[in-house]
Amino acid sequence: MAWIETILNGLMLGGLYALFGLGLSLIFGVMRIANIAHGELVIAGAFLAFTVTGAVPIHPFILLPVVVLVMFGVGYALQAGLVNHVLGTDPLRPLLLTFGLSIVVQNLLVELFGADNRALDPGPLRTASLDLGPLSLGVLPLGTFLVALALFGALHWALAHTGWGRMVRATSDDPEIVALMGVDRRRVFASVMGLSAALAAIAGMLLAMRTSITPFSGTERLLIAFEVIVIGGLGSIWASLLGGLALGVVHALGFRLDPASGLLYGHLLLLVILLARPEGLAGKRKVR
Amino acid sequence: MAERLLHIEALDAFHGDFQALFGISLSLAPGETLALIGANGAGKTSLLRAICGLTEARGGLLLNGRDLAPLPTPERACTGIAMAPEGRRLFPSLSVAENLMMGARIARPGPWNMQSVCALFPILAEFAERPAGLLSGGQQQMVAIGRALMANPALLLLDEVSLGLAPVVVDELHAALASLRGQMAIILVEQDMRRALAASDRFVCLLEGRLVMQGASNGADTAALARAYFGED
Amino acid sequence: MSREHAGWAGFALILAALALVPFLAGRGALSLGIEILVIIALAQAWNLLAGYGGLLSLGHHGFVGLGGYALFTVTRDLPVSPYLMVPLAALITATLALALAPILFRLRDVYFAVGMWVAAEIIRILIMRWEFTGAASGMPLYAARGLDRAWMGPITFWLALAVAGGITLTVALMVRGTFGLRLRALRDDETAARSIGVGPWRVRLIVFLVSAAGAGAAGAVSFLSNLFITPMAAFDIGWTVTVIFVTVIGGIGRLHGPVLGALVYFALREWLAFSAGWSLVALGVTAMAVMLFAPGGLAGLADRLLRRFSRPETAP
Repeated sequence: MAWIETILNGLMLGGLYALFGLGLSLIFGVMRIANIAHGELVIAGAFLAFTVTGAVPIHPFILLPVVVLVMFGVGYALQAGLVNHVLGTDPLRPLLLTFGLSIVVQNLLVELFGADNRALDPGPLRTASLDLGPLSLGVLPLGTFLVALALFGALHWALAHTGWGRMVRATSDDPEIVALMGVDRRRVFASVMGLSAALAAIAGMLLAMRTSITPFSGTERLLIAFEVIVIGGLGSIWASLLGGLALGVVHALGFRLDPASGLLYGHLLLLVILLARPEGLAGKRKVR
Repeated sequence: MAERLLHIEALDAFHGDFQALFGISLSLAPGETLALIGANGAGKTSLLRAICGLTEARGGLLLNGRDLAPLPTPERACTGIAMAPEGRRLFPSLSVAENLMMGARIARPGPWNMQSVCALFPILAEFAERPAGLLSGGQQQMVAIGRALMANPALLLLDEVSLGLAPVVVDELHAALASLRGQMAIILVEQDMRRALAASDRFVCLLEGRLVMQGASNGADTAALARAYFGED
Repeated sequence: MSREHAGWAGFALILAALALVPFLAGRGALSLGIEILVIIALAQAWNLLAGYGGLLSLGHHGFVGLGGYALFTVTRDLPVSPYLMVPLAALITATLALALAPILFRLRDVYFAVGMWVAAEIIRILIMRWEFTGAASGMPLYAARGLDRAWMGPITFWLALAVAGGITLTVALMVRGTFGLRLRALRDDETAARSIGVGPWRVRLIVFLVSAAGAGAAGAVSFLSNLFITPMAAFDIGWTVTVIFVTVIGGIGRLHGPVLGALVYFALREWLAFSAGWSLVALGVTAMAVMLFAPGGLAGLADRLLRRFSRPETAP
């Protein structure tokens, strides 16, 4: 029974992981670049929430939309002002630009907020649990999982059924020809980056509710996000969900079997995927 | 002389450091069909792309008297230019219907919409929900042309629509294109000289980036044109 | 004297001049000198892989730590001189890189970068659990007991100089001649290069192994100088961060890039010594500015200036 609980906890943790990976996979799918500063966007979202909660004593859930909107703007501005200017044939340039950005954001956060541990207090939700027969599930992890699921569903719907979604998919397919249909791809990229930052912010706030974070917590989350995309694959956004769930379960099981291992089993899962199925669990096999 | 829709004056086009077009000058009246003839590498696609703004170009480029040079491609498209590009360039992960809807993003008022495009190419209605990447070459070409038509353009650019297609399919395409003649200005890029002349009012022949011959399609001196095409003389 | 000969002569002169430093500098300055040389060596190794080989690694700290631990573990019980261990540590690191290559080389671009990072993490976690090396608390350099204290500083400095000079020389030699052409061809257009018979795996593997060896040697020297090693310090991702900054600012894909970048890095660090955080922010902003406006870095700018000045003298 305890094993089932561990697996369920792993799945719920995986929902959060999938959310980390979702923003990154969106950018990768549409712009073919990796945002090394993604982990810092997750943490920046949480720190923004800390600032706003500190200023106005409202429950974090009500603050969510404000932080999300601001972070959307931050992502949009980053893309429009910086990343759009280095997109081209050299894949190293955007990679190194976002690398520099991650260090800037990380250390700015240290200078502005200090290096101490901080958390968002969701009140009684933090320790509340739901009893389902013999199982006991934490309300916060369950809520996090459901939020992640809802966001995946909402994004899928938006991509499949709205004009914006069509435009994003078309730009992802052929960024040159899409201009013939009146689409300015730089604006599409900016809105996708904005969305990615908004998703990162939500993930950051959810993270800060379940564990305490420091400005340095972004690095580990970036690695998790990458592992989610590699394990899941790049076929669709649901691949990231699968990757997140797999990683979450492996972490939960690994922690139970071998508490001192840290993230080792997740890394090993990544290696196995790279060796046995490099396109990911749900990815499309690329023709070399 | 009919008022000019498109006026190109001394146009040079570049791919990086390589110059693809040298001093091209031509005009097009509304509703006129111009055949752009030439061998591979003559610069036909470069000219179409230069009109759209996809290829860097210098020189006079006016649509209805409006200077296109300062406009980036998305804005040029909004002035009434649409293209079925070389290689079709559909959005492979979008369905046929979605590809057509993308074409309608900047639609001007006019007769072309989903129904009329599907009436022109019935196969599009049949495959409306299918991902465009899964269609055959000929079917994709119909989607590409349909997508361009959805914008109700004043100027339609057709780049090698018959390339790589079976003769039967090409006949079908050209029959459909014949019904478009006169409704909008068309620039038709074709390697097949006879088809090009049959489908157009005037023609222009390019050789290595330069305009070497032009004239009316009806009664054109095909021998002289063949010489110009191959660069003999 | 031709430009190239002048280059070699200048290089030899600089090395000779630097070799005199231990006789002139105090302990603190000597330590700083070792640190600078280690960073230059590491940056040259990273630059070889990224700038010339086109493979960006986010896990070079794995090689650094491995080199350091190779030195400490082998000399713990075996009668091997720690000084001799530096090149041997490089060899051990290269051997591990050889084992990793089959997995990592399936990856491209960012996947390779992250793969290297994950590999470094795995090595770090494994070593952190190994009792032999003192697990998470680390271990001292036991073999230091047998060394002459007075000469340790100078010899370590000369080793650092040898490693930095050696890897610079190796990179310089590798990028000339046919190997360098093959490397550049692969970087520019892999499909075309393959079609003319350039074997991508072999070329990249050689670059990868040399890069790993260089990083391992740099790590060995660095921790030799410290006399103590811990997993946190050995596998600190800060190594990779610093080295990427140094190379990017100095000029990726250029031989003098790492040197120029190291100078900027240490200058910024001294200038903003009051705050490690702000000095990193400054570094990050500089790196971003370089990527936005001058992707060739300082070396690229210097090259452009030099070309402008030497143009009237250059005969076709």
